[in-house]
Amino acid sequence: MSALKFVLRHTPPSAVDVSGLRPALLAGKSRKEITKLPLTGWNEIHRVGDLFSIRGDDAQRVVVDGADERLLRIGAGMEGGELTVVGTAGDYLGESMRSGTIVVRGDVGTFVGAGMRGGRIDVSGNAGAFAGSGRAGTLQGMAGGAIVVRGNAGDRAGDRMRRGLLLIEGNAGDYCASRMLAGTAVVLGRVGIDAGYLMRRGTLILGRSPAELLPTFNHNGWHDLLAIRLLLESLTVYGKRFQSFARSRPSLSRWLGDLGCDGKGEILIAPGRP
Amino acid sequence: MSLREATCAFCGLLCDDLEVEVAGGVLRVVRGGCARSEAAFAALGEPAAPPPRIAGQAATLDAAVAAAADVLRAARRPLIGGLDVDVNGMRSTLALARRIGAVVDHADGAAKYRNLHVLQEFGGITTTFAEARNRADLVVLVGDGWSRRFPRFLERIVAPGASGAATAARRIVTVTAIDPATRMALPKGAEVLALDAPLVGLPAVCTMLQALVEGRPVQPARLAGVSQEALVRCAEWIRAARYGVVVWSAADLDWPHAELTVQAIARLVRTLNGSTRFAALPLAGTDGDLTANAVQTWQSGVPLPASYANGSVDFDPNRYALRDVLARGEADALVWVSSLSGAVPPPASGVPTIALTRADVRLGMAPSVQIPVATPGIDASGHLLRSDKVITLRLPRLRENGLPSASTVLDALLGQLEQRC
Amino acid sequence: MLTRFVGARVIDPVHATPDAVRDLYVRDGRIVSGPRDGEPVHRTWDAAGAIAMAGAIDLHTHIGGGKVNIARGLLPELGREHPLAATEVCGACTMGPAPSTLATGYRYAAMGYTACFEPAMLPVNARQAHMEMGDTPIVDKGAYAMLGNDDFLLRLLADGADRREIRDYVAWTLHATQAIAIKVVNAGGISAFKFNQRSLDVDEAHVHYGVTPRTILRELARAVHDLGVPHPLHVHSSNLGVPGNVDSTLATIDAAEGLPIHLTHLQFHSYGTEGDRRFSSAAARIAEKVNASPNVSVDVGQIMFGQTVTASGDSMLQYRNARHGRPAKWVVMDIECDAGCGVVPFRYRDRDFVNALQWAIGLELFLLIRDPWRVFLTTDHPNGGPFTSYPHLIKLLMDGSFRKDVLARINPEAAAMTALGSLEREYSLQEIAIMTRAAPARILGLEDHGHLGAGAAANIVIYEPHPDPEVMFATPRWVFKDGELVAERGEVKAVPQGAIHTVKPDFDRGIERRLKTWFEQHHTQSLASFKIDDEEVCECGRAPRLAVHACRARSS
Repeated sequence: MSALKFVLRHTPPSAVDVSGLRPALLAGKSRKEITKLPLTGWNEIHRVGDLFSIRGDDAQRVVVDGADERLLRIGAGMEGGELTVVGTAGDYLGESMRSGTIVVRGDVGTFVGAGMRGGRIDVSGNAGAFAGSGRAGTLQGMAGGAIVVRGNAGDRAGDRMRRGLLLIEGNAGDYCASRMLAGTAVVLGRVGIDAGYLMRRGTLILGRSPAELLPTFNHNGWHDLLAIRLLLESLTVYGKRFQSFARSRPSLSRWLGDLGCDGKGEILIAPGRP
Repeated sequence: MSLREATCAFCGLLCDDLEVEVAGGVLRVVRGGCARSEAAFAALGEPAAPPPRIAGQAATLDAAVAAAADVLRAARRPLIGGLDVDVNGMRSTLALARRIGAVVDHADGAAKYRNLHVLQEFGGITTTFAEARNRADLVVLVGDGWSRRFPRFLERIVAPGASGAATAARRIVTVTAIDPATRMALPKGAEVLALDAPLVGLPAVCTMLQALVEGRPVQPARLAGVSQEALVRCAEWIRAARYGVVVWSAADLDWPHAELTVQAIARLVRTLNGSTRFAALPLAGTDGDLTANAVQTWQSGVPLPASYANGSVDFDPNRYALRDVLARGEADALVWVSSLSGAVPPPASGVPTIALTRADVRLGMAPSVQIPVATPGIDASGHLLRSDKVITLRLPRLRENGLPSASTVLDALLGQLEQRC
Repeated sequence: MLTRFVGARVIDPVHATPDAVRDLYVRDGRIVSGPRDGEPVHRTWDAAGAIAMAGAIDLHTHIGGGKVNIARGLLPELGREHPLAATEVCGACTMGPAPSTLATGYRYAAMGYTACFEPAMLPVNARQAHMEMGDTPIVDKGAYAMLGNDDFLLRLLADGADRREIRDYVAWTLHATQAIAIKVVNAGGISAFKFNQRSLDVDEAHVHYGVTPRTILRELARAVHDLGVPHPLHVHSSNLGVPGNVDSTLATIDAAEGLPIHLTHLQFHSYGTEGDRRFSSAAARIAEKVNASPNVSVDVGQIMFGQTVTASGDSMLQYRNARHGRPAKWVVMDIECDAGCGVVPFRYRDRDFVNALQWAIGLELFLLIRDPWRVFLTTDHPNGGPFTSYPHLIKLLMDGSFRKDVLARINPEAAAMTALGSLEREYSLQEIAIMTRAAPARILGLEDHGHLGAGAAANIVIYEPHPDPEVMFATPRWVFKDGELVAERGEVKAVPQGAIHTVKPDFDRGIERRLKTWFEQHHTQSLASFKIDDEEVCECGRAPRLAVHACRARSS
């Protein structure tokens, strides 16, 4: 059996919700049935076969090839299986997923992994704003699983994050880990302004010193605690850059805050170039 | 010439104590005016009923409505924006949106969403004008919109002696730097504390105040640009207030993610209510933003921006914001409804555009169809929600110019679309 | 045009033969006794074997006004999870915990309801309330104006004002806001909260005005009675949701001094403090008092398990209870020297001790209060649960074994503390018809609603009998509103606009002089802006007509 592959024929005129192309919903369906599945755009219902040419047959391994930013909610609600995206994915990739793996060879839009509960998302390129956050109106962001962004993430990465791992190899935008509730976010590159704003709990690890920290974070000394070392060690499975970061055994500068919001969060900063 | 009592529709305060002189249909505010209302009334000019235009050419109303219906019939993904309208204008807008599966947003959606976002992801403790007027012993003013955008706010709500109920002298805090003229306008006799923080420093000022009020071990000196002493005093005043009110206009907080700052303010207010009474009084309601959102929310159950695509309603500020939808090139027609101030013209979009505007609005580029409509509170009666979101006021008509209301035009347009299907 | 309904078993408690198979005739939206000489029947509906009842009336449902709209805006993530798709006649909308106005009209009508009453209209917010009700299609509407926390009345009472003045003010409010009744919410407490008073018992003095809730209740009950307003003072008692509030509820009944009062969402006010958790049912004590007090009517405010949102004028208690809310976001407002509001989402869980006991207490009240003319079926929508759960609630009342099955599944500690298991009473169809039709019409003074006699509005519901009452009541075969078919088997067929119901008691307009001065000194709108006239309310409320019900003034 070969991976079930959907190759985008043409850019649709408006954004299309393609959350239907996930393993659990495709399993056991014939090619003909899959061809006829509806995908919702703006006042138009596309048939899968109209938007995509289809190859392969293994619904546990789905590939969306030639993806476009108008493809929304790829892999949303995934409950197992593998999904590979080649190209640029739209907003809400992996929203509310519970398990399984999504690999993106390219960039993703905003709200990647919004409200996800488990599983893993690995993005080779950049992610838009609100990576690992939650939909407008919800009180919690991602609550489990792992998101790895090999490139840069936009503003508000880890906003309202509740549990799980958000790993960014490149830079993150402004207000990183805003309103964070728990969990761990790591940014090996630079962060923008006001990291940790309204952070209540949780851990933000920065590979480089930010230009400025909010005045409502207090310095708590330098740490090489066992707990932190174990945490860093656990990151080594997420690729070489996290391996080398963990194995450099950095002594981390610990800042506690946001004291304007309960103040039980921590920002751990590795020494090095700002 | 005659004198008429009027309710001013040109900012969210909706002052209902205006006296307007009507001479040959020209309106002049003679009592209860402010810089904003006087200019807005003066700008209305003589009553005129210019003809609707189809691609720039004068046409009858029937022909224009028919042409607009043709535009919408040919469109698959219509966007409705502007929404500078009264209640009935919005009711008709939504009936049309449901019929054509439109995405709908207010022209100034971004500013509105700063406050709405905090309601949805935190909540709030708020108050209204008469409560503030009668009870506030401390008024914390953020930004300068309370003066610049809502010119009579101080006079009507904050000036001490305005009512018999608040006995003690009022304290006033100005959090951000304001110009000397604005400072001069603060009520005499009030005890004033000026923090003079730079507007962009506001996010950290708000969390620092929260930390000080809660007695956390922070060093206010680390907050650049603000006097440590003033910050500490401000926290003391806030804690000592029996009924404190914090005032801002979300339009002032015009930087990315400013909603986080609003959340910090809302959080401070919630904390203070553990021991005393404190409430937020955000100022808004100008250009129909609160009205449009309220009608959308009650009719559909979700706020703006919203999509009525595929016979279903959905809310998503991340996807349906007017400017984003246009920038993504998804919409293939634009309906622009703007009957109140006419300050914001339809954005250049490159798609067929139907514009319902005030009679005096001249558009740079001729839209597919332009239909002049009556201005609520001027050429037609109407209803608007006031800034504090509780009071809806009736705007009586002040003059006659024969223009149809936005609601009438939209209903006719809907009728056309339903007829031929 | 004469329409005939043939063969239905007509359950119509108001009339001499309350349960009989008979034909119904409708002409021009009204029920008539039969054809005139030689008058042809234009249309016949074959209802053989079916059950006919008058359209149901919900006398306490939060369907319009600012606080409901705050609830909608607060919970968009729940609204968008429950879309109602557009149909031929219905517009796209949502049915979240605080449903949209469109969904409210559609779903009420599809369930056989033809009139709904918003019980907590803030006078300063009356226009918006009427607008929201105007956008609630199909059903008739009316609203109760809230008094008793407004600074004007508290000042009058503090100054020892003359009863005539209070009566005139109450009547003026009914006129100015286009209301059908008066409600008091946590008498004095909402105002006291503005002065940082955190609780207020029935005989405790308001910290600023020095007035007690007892005085406010007595004076308002008297004013409403003297004006001859059909619906008695609608009372949301003090200490909502507080363990041990049974005492203040009993004191509230006494405060009426024998005058008619209606106690609303009584379930939330029937709590004791027994047991390890200091939370227990006081339903038996309350029911005993209600049974012995013919001046008292009640609605229950049953809670139903699941997610909902509470929207109340009671800012004092909503603030206090907010920490129990889920999801944890909430709004509290002080409003315009008039009242307040609090919006707190709740998720009632059957495995939770407190929630499970609240559920049992509501059912105990239903079963222990004997007279179905004085106890009404409500969930205080949406506060105890959505109105769409009424068919399930009816099943709980009609089917004792089903009730016991559910009781066996709730938190066992709570199950052990309720007498529910020993209550064998099962409501009859006749009793359900009384509590959902005949009695609410009577207590609101709606002469032409709640029954199927000649002259009544042709609001007719045709049910198919089913062994499961929940099935029967959830999707009636046909629902007629003023003679027009509006819903069939749960599907909306037509979307007419309903009337607005009001009362307009006589009063001395001299009160406006004092009010005008008050408005100028304290308010931020003029007296003229505040008042809503008949033409305006019909425009705001999109009402084809204003139904003004008679008041018979009584002297005292």
